[in-house]
Amino acid sequence: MGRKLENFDLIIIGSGPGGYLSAILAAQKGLSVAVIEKGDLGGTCLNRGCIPTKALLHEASLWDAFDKSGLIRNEEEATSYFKKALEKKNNAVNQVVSGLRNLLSRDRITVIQGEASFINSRTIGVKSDAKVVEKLESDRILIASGAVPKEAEPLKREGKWVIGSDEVLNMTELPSTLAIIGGGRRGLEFANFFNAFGVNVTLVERENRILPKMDREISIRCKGLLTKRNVKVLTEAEIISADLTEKDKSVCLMVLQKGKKERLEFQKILVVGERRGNIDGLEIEKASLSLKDGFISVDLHMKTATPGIYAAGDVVGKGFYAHKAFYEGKIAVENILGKESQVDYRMIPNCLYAYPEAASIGLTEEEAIKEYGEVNIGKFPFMACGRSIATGNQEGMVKIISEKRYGEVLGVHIFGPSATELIHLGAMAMRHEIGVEEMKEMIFAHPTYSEALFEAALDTYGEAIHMMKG
Amino acid sequence: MIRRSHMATTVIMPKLGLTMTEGTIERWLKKEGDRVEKGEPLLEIITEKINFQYESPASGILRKILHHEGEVVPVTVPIAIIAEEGEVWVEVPMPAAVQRESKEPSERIFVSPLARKIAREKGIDLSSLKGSGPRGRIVRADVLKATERVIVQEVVSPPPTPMPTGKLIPLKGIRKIIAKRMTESFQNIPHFYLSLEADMSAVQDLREGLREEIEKRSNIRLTMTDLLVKVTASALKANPIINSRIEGDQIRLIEEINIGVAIALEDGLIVPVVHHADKKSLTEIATTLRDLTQRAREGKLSLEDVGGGTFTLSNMGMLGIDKFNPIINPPECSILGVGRTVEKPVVYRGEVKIRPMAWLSLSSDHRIVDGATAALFLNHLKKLLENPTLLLI
Repeated sequence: MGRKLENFDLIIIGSGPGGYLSAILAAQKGLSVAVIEKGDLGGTCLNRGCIPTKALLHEASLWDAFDKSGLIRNEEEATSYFKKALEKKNNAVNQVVSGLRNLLSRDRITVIQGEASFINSRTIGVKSDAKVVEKLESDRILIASGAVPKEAEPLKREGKWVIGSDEVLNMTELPSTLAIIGGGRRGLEFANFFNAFGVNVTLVERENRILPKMDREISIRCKGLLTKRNVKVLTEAEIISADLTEKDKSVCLMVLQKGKKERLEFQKILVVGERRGNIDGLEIEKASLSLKDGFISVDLHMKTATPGIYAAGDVVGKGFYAHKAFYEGKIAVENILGKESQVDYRMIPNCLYAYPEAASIGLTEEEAIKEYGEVNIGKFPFMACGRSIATGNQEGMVKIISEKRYGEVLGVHIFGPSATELIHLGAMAMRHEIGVEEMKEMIFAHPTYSEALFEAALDTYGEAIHMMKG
Repeated sequence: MIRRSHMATTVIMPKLGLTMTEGTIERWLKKEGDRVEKGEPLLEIITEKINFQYESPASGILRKILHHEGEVVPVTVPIAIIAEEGEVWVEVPMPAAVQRESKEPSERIFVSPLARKIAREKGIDLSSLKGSGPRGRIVRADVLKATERVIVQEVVSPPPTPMPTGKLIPLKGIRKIIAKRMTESFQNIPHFYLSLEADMSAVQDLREGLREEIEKRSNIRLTMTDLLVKVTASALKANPIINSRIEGDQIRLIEEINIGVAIALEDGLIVPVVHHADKKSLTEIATTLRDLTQRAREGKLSLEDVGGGTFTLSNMGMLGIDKFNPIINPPECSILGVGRTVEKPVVYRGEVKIRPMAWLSLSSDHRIVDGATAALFLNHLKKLLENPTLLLI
């Protein structure tokens, strides 16, 4: 096979959200762009992350509703619905991936299947079966290669007993007991999912609360709800050893919680813990780059230490969200095009797609008090929201944290129906400097879940309408 | 939009003088809805030189005030509507010039609510800021940057002194005009000052000699100021450079000799002009000055009365001042300050004698006048005062 050397205005490594969005933005500005993908087009988000998990969670919520209705209650039906859910998930993935393929071809972006590896800081070799089959050259390279789970002792994913999120998506049978290691957002989503299908779930979190990155109130409410649904939640808990020899279709975990050791048996152990930047095979040292704490470090312009090389998305760490990758990719391209733009991480929404959903943006109450001293808090429970009462989605609340002097919105925290949609009202207010007083002047349609935000804004000044004064 | 009718009267910004292009509305003396009679004072207008009570051009109800206090309005632009009860008027678009001249920013400023609040609190004028948000929207960062500039300015200024207490008088009306014009003059014109003493006995004798006759003929009491105007006019005619002004990069030697005379008023001072002073007789000068003084005190001077001066005379003799350096009244190039006439011992014809002496001080614009030229003029003036019969030549 003849090796050719092709030159592009921009080479992007990885076709996930960080990579493909940057490719489209750059191509729209007239740059010739090549995207190198070693796995599935669309990366984690489209194939193993956002889209498939949301498809599954949606099916799980439907099943949960059926289940709660009391009309159906047998294990067989649960398994058969679970299989249907996987099918629907696959359809969703196929649809978004083929959509992406069309978008990339619309913008005449060259997509190269193969494993990228640096030859030097401006040349990339594309390997197929460990042989370099193609060389690409550019003055601008964007690394958007994503992240992979960090292997941590004593739990090594071996695919049979100990699995990761990738394996979940290809499960064909439901375990009867499941340990989920990691009480962050992804752990909770899986806990919800399996709980809906009747799996006995134990959630293990090392910190003193689940969802440690969200507002404490959401953590507490969420834990209460999970416990009510018979999910066992262990906080400040650590796996000290694992015995993976099969006994009665189960294996053993030794859990240390608050100084107490406990031996627990599970049919499956799902690890959704820490991740690291995926630089496998990239040979970044040839571009004079190295990892810092498992990730490629970049400045606020998404520039790496090597001139001409940028990085965006999961590979730079700081949270794993497709929308964070979109945003960083956009900033990287703007800088590539000569505009000096910078990332502002405060404006990135944090979303949990469990049911109810949770979402937050900006500072938590604790962070706000630490930074501003006194702050205003406006709160409203969905229990008092008309739409919630009508639909039975009464769990949760809205909390708006604002600064006292100008009413600037510092943080919005929502736990409840459609929280991941509602959060954008907060995002818009924060990004465009609309304060609580201005939110009070908006007209909200009735009945909507959004009214809870309106009432929380009113409550900031003790003016909430549909709420008993505490 | 303004409303205009065939029947209603549109009050326009009057053109009070040939050079007037715009006027500031100082004060409306009537409110919307008030009845006003033709000839009754309607509003006060400030021009470059004076403030002026403008009388209503018609009788009726002041139905609409189109421009409010503090607005600068070009001449002939409508400022109010006077109409009878029940009379209607049609809407016509407001002239573009007014929209441009209006001090209130009519254009919408795109600004985030937060930025607006901070600007209001910090006293930052939003119209002076350039926004860094999408399409120039002003955001918090822009206001904070402007605040920093203000703080930097405050840092370099002297340490704050405690705010003094006492009554506050607004700098407005004639006070504002004086403040503006004197600052401009003193900042822009390189002043220099010459002084000499003149023996006033001859001119005093002349005044005594003429007083009775003039009073009998014209019922006017001849003053020393009248004589000073006459003498100065003659000296100016002989020294045309003192009667000149700067026009761009040229000097205009003005043919007319129009002498302004500073008159103290209760709330300031005004300088009405004796036009063609060199061509007027003493009686004419005295008559003119009396009339101007009278009208100045009544606030009834026209723009013509105060315009066109080529030289200014400021006599502080009656205020007990010996000697002072006046500030030039632009666009003129010189001003004469005359002190009181006081009897003192001087060497007169080889002997120490008691003579009535007065200080004459000339302030001149050094761009036009040099020391020697000014000295020539001042000495000429002294010579005329000491030998007023020379005026007959």
